[in-house]
This record gives sequence, C-alpha cells and structure tokens, in this order.
Amino acid sequence: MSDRAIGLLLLVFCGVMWSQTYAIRTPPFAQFQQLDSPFFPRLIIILLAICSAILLVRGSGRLVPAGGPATVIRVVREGRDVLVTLALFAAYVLAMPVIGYVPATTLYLVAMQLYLQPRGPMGIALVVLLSAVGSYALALVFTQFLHVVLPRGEF
Amino acid sequence: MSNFFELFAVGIQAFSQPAVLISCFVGVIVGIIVGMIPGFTITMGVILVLPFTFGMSPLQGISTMVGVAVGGASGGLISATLLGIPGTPSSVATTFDGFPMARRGEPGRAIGLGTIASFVGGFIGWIVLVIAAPALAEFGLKFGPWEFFSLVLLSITMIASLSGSSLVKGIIAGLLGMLLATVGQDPMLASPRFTFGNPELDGGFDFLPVLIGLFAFSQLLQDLEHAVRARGEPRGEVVKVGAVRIPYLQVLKDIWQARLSMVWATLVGIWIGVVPAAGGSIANVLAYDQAKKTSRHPEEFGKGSPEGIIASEAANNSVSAGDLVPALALGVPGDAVTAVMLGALLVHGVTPGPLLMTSRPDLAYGVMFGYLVATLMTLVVMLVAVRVYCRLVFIPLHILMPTILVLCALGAFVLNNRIFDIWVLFGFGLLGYFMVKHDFELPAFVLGFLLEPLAEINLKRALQTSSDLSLFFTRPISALLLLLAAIAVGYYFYVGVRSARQQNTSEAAARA
Repeated sequence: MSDRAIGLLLLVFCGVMWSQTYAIRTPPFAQFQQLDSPFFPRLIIILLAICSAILLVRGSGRLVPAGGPATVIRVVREGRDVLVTLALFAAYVLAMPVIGYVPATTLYLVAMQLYLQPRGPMGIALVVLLSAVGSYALALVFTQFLHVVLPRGEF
Repeated sequence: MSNFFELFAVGIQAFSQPAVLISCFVGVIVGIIVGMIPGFTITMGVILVLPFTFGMSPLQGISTMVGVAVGGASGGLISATLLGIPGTPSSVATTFDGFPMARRGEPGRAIGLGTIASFVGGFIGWIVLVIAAPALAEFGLKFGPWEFFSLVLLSITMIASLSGSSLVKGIIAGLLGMLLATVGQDPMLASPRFTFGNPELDGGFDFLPVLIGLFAFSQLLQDLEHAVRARGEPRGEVVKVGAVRIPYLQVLKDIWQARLSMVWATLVGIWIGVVPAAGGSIANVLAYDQAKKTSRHPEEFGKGSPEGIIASEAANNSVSAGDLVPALALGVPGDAVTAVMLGALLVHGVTPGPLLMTSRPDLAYGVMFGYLVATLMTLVVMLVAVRVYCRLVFIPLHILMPTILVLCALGAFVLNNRIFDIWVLFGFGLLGYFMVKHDFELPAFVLGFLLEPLAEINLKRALQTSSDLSLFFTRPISALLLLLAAIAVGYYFYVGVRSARQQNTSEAAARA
C-alpha cells in the first residue's frame, strides 16, 4: 500500500474517531470543566490528521495500485503463509473457549507444524504426540504451579 | 552518599534471595537461547517469560527479565559468528567480523572475544547505571506537570527523528499509539471513551497483549515471509560445533590491544541506551563504525578483525544498562525491553517514576545489582556451555514458530483470564506487521501508548494550574526538554539535507 493510500486511510480513521468523541460523556461533577474527557483525544486526532494529510500530499505511490485486482491477487499469493498463519491462529482462539485449552492448542500446533513442514504418516503421528504432550505439560505448569485458570471448553 | 550505600545495601539484600537469583539465572539461559535464534528478538524473549513472572514478586519478575535482556544481548553473538546471521538486531555488526573469523577457522576466538567484550561493556554500563540512575531520579523529583509533558514530547520526537527513515511516519506512529491508549477510561474523570458499547473495552487495551502483538506476533509474521526458512530447509552449517574452542590467552591479548576501542564502544552504547529512542540495534552498528574510523588497521574490518567484534558486542551489552537509567529514574522506557519491564511493574502494582528509588529502594537498587549479577552469569554460562548453545542454533523454525505463538497467546490470556486479550494481541499483531511493512516505527507507537496517561494527566494538570502556555517554554527544565526535542528534529532535517547533497554530488560526478 502506498504512503498516500495510508495517509488517506488514516484521515478516514481520524474522521471516525472524531465523530466518536461526541459520544464521550463527561460526568456531572465535571460538566463545568474546560478540559473534559474528549479534550485530549481530540488534540491527538487533530495532530494525527495533520500528519496524515502531510503523508497524503507528500507521500509516494498511487492511491490505487497500478495493476488493480491483479496486483491484489499477486500480493495475496505472495503472502499466503502469513494469511494461513493468521487464519489458523484465529481458528485457534475461536476454538479455545469451545473445546478447551489443551485440545485447541494441540490441534493448532499440529496444523501449524504440518503446514510449515508437511510430513509422512510417521512424522504426522510424532507431531500429534509431541503437540499433545507439550500442550498438556504447558497447561499443567500454568494451572498447578502458577494457579492460572485456563479455558476448559463447553463440553 | 552514605544514604546511597544504605539504599544499595537494601537492594543487594533483596536481590540475594535464592528465588531471585535462580530466576535471574533462568532468565539468562532463556535470553541466550532466544538471542541466538535468528528471527527472535530480545523483546520477544522478555515477553515470553512475562506470564511466568506474574506469580513472582516484582523484583523476582524484573530480575528474570533483566537476565533475559542481558543474556539475549550476548546470545546474538553465536548465530552471528557461526551462521553469519545476526541472532538479534543488536548483533548485526558482529556478523561483519565474527563470521569471517569463524570461516577462517577461529570460531572460538570470535565467540570468546564477543563474550568477554560483552562482559566488560556490561560491567562499565553497570557502573554508569548505578551513578546516573539515582542522580537522574533526584533530578526528576523537581519535575512538575509541564516537565513531564515535555519529557513525553521529547521521547516521542527523539524516536521519530532518530531511529526511522521518515519523521512524519515516526510521529504518526507515536500519535496513533497515544490515540489507541485513550480507549477505555479517562484517567482523571473515568468516563468511558471509544468503547463502541463493548464492555470489554471499558478498561481499554491492556498494555501487555498490545506489546506481545506488536513485537512478538508481528515479528513472527515477518519471519514467515522468509519462505525458505519457514519450510524447514536446513541452514548451511558453516562451522562444526566440535571445532568451537576458545583460545583464552589469544582472546585476552586481543582484548588488551583493543581496550580503548572497547571502552569507547561501551560509552557509545550507554549513551544510545539512555536516549529513549535508539536501542541495541543502533548501538552496535554505531560503535562498529566508530571503531573502524579510529582503528590503526581499518582495512582489517570486515575480514575478521577482533576490534570489530569487540566494539559491537561491548556496545550492545552496555546499551542494556543505559536503557535502565531513564526507566528506573523517570519511568520512561529506554527501549521496548524496558517498556515491557515497566508494564510488568504496573501489573504488580508498582508505579514507575522518580519516586521509585526512594519508595522502593529494594526494587530499584535490587534491579541495578541484578544487572551486574546477570552480566556475570552470562559471562560464565557463555564460556562454559558454548558448545551446547551452538547446537541450539539449528532448531528448525517450523517447530519454534508455532510454539512461540502458543506462548504468546498464553501470555496475553493469563493477565486477565480473558479471550478478548488474545484478540487484542491478534489485532495489534496485524497492526504491527502492517506498520513494519510500511516503515512505521513500532518503538514510537509503543512509547506513545505507554506514555499517553502520563502526557494527558500532566497536560491537564498544567493547564488547570495555569492556562499560560508559555510556562512550557519559560520553566527551565521544560524549556530544556523542548529544546532537545527541537534539536532532534533539526538533526533529522540536517541529516536529510546532507544525504541529499551527497547524492547530488555523486550523481553529478557519475554523469561527468
């Protein structure tokens, strides 16, 4: 994404945040204060908007990618590993409260390792075993020794 | 003076508890391991041990992190020497001479030089830390709300102007961090801001998931982009682990011959560390450059010069001490690592700032003493177990990466037992990845995020005390801080103009 496109995006973000400052309610005891709750965020938004405008005007690159959809497709292909990692991580976080910490972590570790380094049947079995043992050991350390409550799942 | 020794004795006593010593030692081990693995930063190492420190006392927790920081600064030396790949950004310059020295059959000499130079740099850094931190804290007690606000302005300006390629992007990063830090409750009036009706946002974004996302999660995403390493292809093993033997007499002779260069590099590192902007990644390169310029044999640099290794490693260890000076004295982090440490203090209910030295001398002076102990531990561990560590460099990324991500998620979760914090980590991880890809400074963002409450509270206090804005410029300390900020911005433009002129000159010469 070009600097100019980022500048425009930031200006839009500033606009959204500015509109949200009107939703900030000052408590009754502070109604007559000049420096109310929206004051500082508005100051930051103004400064951010100025810098974003500078980036939009003086930044390099086009607002829209030259190749259009083809460029977007190319970027997605090149970033496939990152996108898959993000998707797997999101699935892991969604699964955790549903199936519990240990099963979710085991599945995640298996999926990530096999995606990054595909293996044969024996390798898969080893990965599953080590992931399960590792997940359980980690949960044990945190629950028994550090007294942290980990998600147990809904079942 | 006697008060100083009394307070320091309190710190020594507090640190000398077996649990604290053991935690520090474990931190050193973890730090060396994390430091030596390319793609994993010291900040990531500190973040990874963070959830384990929640059950510890504040001193024990911070000591663990100091151990990781000190160990990590030395750990980068191993992969820099054996693989030619810096283990951390603070060992980039070490590759310039460490790798060539290893390739010509002297890996042990390279590692020995780096290890001992690291120790000397850390030791001298510790002396400066002990002298400077209490003095700066004393100075900080004179700060009023104008001074604190100006200090925040200085910190963000310095990061924006000194460590990045674009001043505007650096300032945007800092302001964005500040804006996102306003999500949640107004620190003075407690009104909810930018919660969008979501009760999970009433408390704002917790600092630690933000930091884990920005520095650990986004870093791992960047590592993934190196597809060859992510697919588990073996790295070329340049040096057999069995060949790593340290020739102590030769190393000590090299150290003695380069002693002045080493001390100067140490001072460079300390200065870089004190400035709340740059960190080890800049210190080692700057010190290397300085050593080359002042060396009697500059032609040897880049070909396995002992001086090059010594300068880089002395600086990247002393910078850790420099980072602790503003962190302990003023509550302003010198780098991302100290930002995590200060965040950890907040979790433990300890408020960083100038009063820390007097209200919690066990903690402040304990950390200072702990830094020395961690430096000693690192020296011993590196020299004794060098061959063991050398093997760990070759752990494949496809095993490490998912493991680190799991630990990151766990670290975010254990803070408040909320899945929401893992989503915060995810979101800020994406943001951090996007920012780095487009040359926005993450340290500026983190500093803005961490210091926003300090800036907001003090600006409001200053304006409520007097609406006269000129006080920011007429109060001596505030004026000095703003002047330094202006100098930092001026230096940025000066460097830019000079670079443009040099480029024009070389282009004109090429055309001629």
